[in-house]
Amino acid sequence: MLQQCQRKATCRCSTVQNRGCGVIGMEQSYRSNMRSLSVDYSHGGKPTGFDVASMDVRAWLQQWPRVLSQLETLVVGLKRRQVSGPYNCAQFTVELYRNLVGSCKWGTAGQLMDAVREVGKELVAAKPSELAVGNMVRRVLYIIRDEYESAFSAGDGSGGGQAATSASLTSPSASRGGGGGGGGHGRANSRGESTPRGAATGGAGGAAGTAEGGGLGPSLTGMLGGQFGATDFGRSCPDLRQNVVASISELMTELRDMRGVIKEHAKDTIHANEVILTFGNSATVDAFLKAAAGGAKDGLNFRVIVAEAAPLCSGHVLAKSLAKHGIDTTVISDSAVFAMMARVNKVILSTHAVVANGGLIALNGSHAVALAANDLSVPVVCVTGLFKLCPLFPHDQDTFNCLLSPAAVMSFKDKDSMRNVEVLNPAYDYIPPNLVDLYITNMGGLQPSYIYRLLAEYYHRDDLIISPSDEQAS
Amino acid sequence: MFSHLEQNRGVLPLTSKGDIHPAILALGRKYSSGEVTGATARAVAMLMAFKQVVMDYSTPPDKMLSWDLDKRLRPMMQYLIDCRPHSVSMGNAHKALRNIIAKSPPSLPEEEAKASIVDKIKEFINTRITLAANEIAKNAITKIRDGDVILTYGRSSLVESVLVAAQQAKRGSFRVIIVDSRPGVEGRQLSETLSAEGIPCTYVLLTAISYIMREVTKVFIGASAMMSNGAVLSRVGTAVVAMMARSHNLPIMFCCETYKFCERVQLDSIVYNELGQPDDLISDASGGDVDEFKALPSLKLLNLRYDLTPIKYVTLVITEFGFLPPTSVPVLIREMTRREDKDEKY
Amino acid sequence: MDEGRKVISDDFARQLSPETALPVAAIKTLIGVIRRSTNTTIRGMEAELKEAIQLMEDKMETDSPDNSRSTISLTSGCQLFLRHVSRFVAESVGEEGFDESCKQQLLHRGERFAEVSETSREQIARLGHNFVRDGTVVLTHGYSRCALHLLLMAAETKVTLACSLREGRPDGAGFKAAAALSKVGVPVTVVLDSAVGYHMEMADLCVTGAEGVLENGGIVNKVGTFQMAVLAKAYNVPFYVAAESYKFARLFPLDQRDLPKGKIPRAPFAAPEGTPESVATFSPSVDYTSAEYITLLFTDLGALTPSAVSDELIRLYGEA
Repeated sequence: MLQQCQRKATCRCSTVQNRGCGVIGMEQSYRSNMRSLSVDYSHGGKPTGFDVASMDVRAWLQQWPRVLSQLETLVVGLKRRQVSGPYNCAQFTVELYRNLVGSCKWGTAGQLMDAVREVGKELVAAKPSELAVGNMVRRVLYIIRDEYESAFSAGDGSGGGQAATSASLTSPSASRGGGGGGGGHGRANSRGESTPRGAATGGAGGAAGTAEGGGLGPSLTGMLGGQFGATDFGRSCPDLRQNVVASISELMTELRDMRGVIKEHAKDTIHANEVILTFGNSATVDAFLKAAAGGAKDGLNFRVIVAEAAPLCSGHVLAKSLAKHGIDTTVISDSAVFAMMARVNKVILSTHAVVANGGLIALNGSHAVALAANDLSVPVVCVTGLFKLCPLFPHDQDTFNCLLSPAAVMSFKDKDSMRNVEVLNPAYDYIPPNLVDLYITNMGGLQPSYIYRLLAEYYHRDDLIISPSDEQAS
Repeated sequence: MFSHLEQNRGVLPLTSKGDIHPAILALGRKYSSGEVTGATARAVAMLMAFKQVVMDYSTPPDKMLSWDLDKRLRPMMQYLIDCRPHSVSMGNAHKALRNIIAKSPPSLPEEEAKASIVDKIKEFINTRITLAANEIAKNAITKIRDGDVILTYGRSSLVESVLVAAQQAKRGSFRVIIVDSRPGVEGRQLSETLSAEGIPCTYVLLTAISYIMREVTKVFIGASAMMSNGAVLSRVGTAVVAMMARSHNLPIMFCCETYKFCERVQLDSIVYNELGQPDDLISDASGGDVDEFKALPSLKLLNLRYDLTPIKYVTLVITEFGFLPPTSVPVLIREMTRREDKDEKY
Repeated sequence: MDEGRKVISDDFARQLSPETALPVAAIKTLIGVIRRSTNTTIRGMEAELKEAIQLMEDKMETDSPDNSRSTISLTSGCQLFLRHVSRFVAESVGEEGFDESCKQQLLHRGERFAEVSETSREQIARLGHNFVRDGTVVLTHGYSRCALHLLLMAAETKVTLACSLREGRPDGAGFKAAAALSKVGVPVTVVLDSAVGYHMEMADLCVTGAEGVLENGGIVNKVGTFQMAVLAKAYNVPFYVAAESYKFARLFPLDQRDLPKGKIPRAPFAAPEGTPESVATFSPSVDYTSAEYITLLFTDLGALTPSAVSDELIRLYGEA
């Protein structure tokens, strides 16, 4: 029999799925009941949807072929490196999740988060070295948590106070907002005000507005406020879908506009007649330097030295692009970096990822550049979008690295003459945080020691481990 | 920024000037094409060519050998410099040659004088270069222990002979990491030689230096010249390697014969350097098209040949006289100058 | 009141055990105080708690004068608990009307706080053990249950791991830690305190505990920690500290001698025979390591950089 969904009419889901009849029968019943679903509430009371314990996420997604095919395309694209670069990977990932949240029928917030996690596992496993994918998965999870919790703490004290945790002691004070409905939620609800919705999605400004305990992670304040234990995500929340989709759309806008925001800082960072050194190619650095150079009338006059970044020599691409824009550019080989550093005013680097301690995972060879700059007291500025911020720690050079084909270093036809020689071609370098002087991000200028604060604003501690490969790096 | 530096003009046309010996002409061509490269190789080739010149020389009547020969050699040296700016090693060798000629006793008959000069040239090569290299190898291998992972940069003939000697002397099992860089990837030749000797080798480009450095226990690098302020002039990229090694607290040892010691002081790499062919930076590997680059007026290519490693990155210098801290370089130079003046034997 | 003091004293003594951390025992004692309290005003309750804290501190000093444990963590844990009480009250009741149900809630929260504090070591170990990679050599100092727990967990999951422990004179704490580690099969070497420089070039990372974590992210720990940290920095060896969050103290010392006097017990060591009387000996039992030498702090709040510690404390104590 069909049962009406507990949620409001705005929810597109009008049926609830079969849950009870045993695991074995599950697969067949899904496949055969793709369109019209029969329902049997054998477990009574609990809303159904994606149950991570008993179903494979792809099987569940087969009911929404567009989403499933989007997932499969993305997984294949990541594996084959057709989708590459943190920016592209992040965009596709977020798009996929928007469709998933919007189109698929999930029961409760907890089930949605399970589905998001399972899909995330697949994506991260497709390309573990692409940290931006995992970051976006964690951002979506955080969005869901945040929307869920603000739905229950924003003013409706009666329903909201009854969290299933020991935070029952907060219920009389819920209307005074003692810590909100559940674990680790450190928002400034102590005055009873509802948190602005926009604050959840990547706004450092929003977090600054919530004075204490910005973010959902644990904190001393949180501990004293009585937030222990995990939140129960099993309650139904009518507006959750549209709120989450709206927040994810905001995230997509943030991604899209990222470079535009970063460019605004260009003229403050670079001054006239300076010599800037950069390494390899990056669209963000390209846009940044071009913004500083400006037009013929208002532009700054400065020189750029580009280190070519062997073996792929991506620096050549950047140099040509800058020269076409009229910027005085010189290409040097990577070996000349130290020699040239004595005449350089600033180093501007891009990065593949920013890690939890404020360090960088950057293009192979960047560490030498940063070290040389440090030695000669040249400021190192890293230009990056915050979607590259990853809450994991790098334990050594191998943690987020991968070895690429040695053919780029030495072609296979030369190999005959070097029979017993091992050739290595690592993809990335780890740059410790003390070598970076400034980050210029879509949230403005930041110092490396501030990065940990942003982690709490974007990610929740329980979401750190998406896939098994993350456990090694947590 | 680099207008004060000499640019490699490429291969000069072989204008046969009457007073340039064919051996010098041939050598000049080899210099500018890059066929003969490396401080030691260039110095030895130069001395051998000049030896030939001396042997073919005949003193004109009424002229003193020492004075005339010196005058004859000057345009030849200038020709070589025009083909490619000379290295410190060549400069020092040339100075020694001029010294030998100047000290040639005027009373000697021509054939004897020539023979004596040729002998002294041979002695110089033998003592200051060949035997010195053997001594350096002997000294250096005492620093190589079983289980060492040795890193070297580019190809230095000295370091090559040290490592080969170490392998042959069976100083335990060690392996070598060769760091190389574009455009002149000389390290490949070294890795061929070493792996032929049975030494396990790893080959990486300079960009991988941070990744590979954690495995390394020692660094051996060759030098083009040793400055009086303890800094080392060497193949461009050496400073990067030394800096990275220092940040991992590894010893950085430079192998350098004393004839490469230079009285000059140098503070950074720009003050004195040599520019190579800019087009070498663009190669098939980078997928570049030279014309594309030339079409953009704002785009320049810079191909530095040398860089200067500051004294703080030099742990020690291995010479034929033993181990030397970099602060003692001017002391040794003073000592050598004193001996030369007294014309003492080494 | 003496009766009451005796009860508190006994309670405290009972809570103390080798396994329980000092602050946790203190917090449990304070919970007991609240439970037994007959006060009806919040001021009275706070005064009673403060008195109890003072009592416990005095007890620590008098009972074991040569006990090299400093009371910094005791003070910080108690301050935190006091802060918790006053915040809760400010949130829920205001200045009066401290009734039975409020007290129950307070007790409940306090108990949860104590529970969390007890499990914090587990959390820290889980967080930090991944930083100890396969085949690394770890250098550690002193007997810290927190750091040891981390290493033991690392030993379970890693293939090879070797530890060097400093002797930890004058009380030889290093040997105690070494015994615990070698029981699980970790190859351990105990080295002379003076030989840290010699061994630092072989070490891949350093781990210690802390008696107290200071406002600037620095730590107070067994004497000898500071020199190990300085050497680690010279050799670019990461220096990690494992500490529970109740050890965060509101102290900001400027130098070694700026720590509160009463909190630094001496650790006397015997001079060899024949030393003349005029030769004085002096040895503090703890020293101060400033934040610049510390790479990361593993706490139950996560892996924090030293600057994050200050942020936590500001957020906590910053508002009225």
